[in-house]
Amino acid sequence: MKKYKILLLFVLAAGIGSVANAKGLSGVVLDKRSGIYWQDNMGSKKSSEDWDDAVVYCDKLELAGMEHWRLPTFKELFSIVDLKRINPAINPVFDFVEEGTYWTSTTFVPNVSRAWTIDFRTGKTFYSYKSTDHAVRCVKDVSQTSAKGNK
Amino acid sequence: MKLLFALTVTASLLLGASSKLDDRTGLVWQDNPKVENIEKSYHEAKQYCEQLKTDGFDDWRLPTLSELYSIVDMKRERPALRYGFEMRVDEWFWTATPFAGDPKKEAWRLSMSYGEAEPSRQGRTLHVRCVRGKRMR
Repeated sequence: MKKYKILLLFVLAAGIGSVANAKGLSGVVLDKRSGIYWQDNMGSKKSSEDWDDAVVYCDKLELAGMEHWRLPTFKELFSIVDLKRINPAINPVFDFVEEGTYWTSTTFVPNVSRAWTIDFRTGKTFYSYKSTDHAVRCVKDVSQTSAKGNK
Repeated sequence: MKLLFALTVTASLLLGASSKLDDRTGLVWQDNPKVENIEKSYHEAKQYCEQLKTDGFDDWRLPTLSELYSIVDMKRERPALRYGFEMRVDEWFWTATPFAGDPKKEAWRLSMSYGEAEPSRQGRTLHVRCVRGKRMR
């Protein structure tokens, strides 16, 4: 029974939009479900980088007083896709969206010169050559930032 | 309630040769040779799952795209399917998720080759893996 309750809570949490604008942090969306901050500023709309530069772009990003961001995994980026919408097919909490393809950190295992991407016009997922330029939306683990704050 | 749960688990274990419980999501997946042999159009696939009687259960349905992604393992290929499934078909599968750009004519399909997903004409015939349990998203 307890198992069911936990499962039900999980399902509810997944259903209700648990992504919200982080209070007092501009250019950032707090994702409570995944425990991450999402970049949401001009950079997450206007960026166009090949995969290697996308990794560097996130690492160098300084946003809302936080440093060293990273590319989202495929699973993380897919969690903000909203398939009930189109052009863009993204959770409506995000304001700065390029209607195009975004990088994930997940390398395409059968061919490591490719990595997984999501096209936010529709939500279509594909493996792109890392030499291609795509948009970037970086993430930052909340746990990491609070650990830093406790020091 | 505990007893009912125990009975359900026991029944699934005894009769469950045709399906697989995913502990992480609580979903039960069809996993018998029909997954390999049967191909249907989108509407046929929905109907087929709703009418399916396997392992003594009749509450099967076509999974959503998010649900089907929960059994994809991108560290694997051809099929990019998580460990534990008997039926390892390297083909396109239907999901119940309509394509918002043309919901009457297109729906999402997922390739078990590598895990890519795209909208597809609903008339196309593809493989089907039905699911039971509380809908995820």
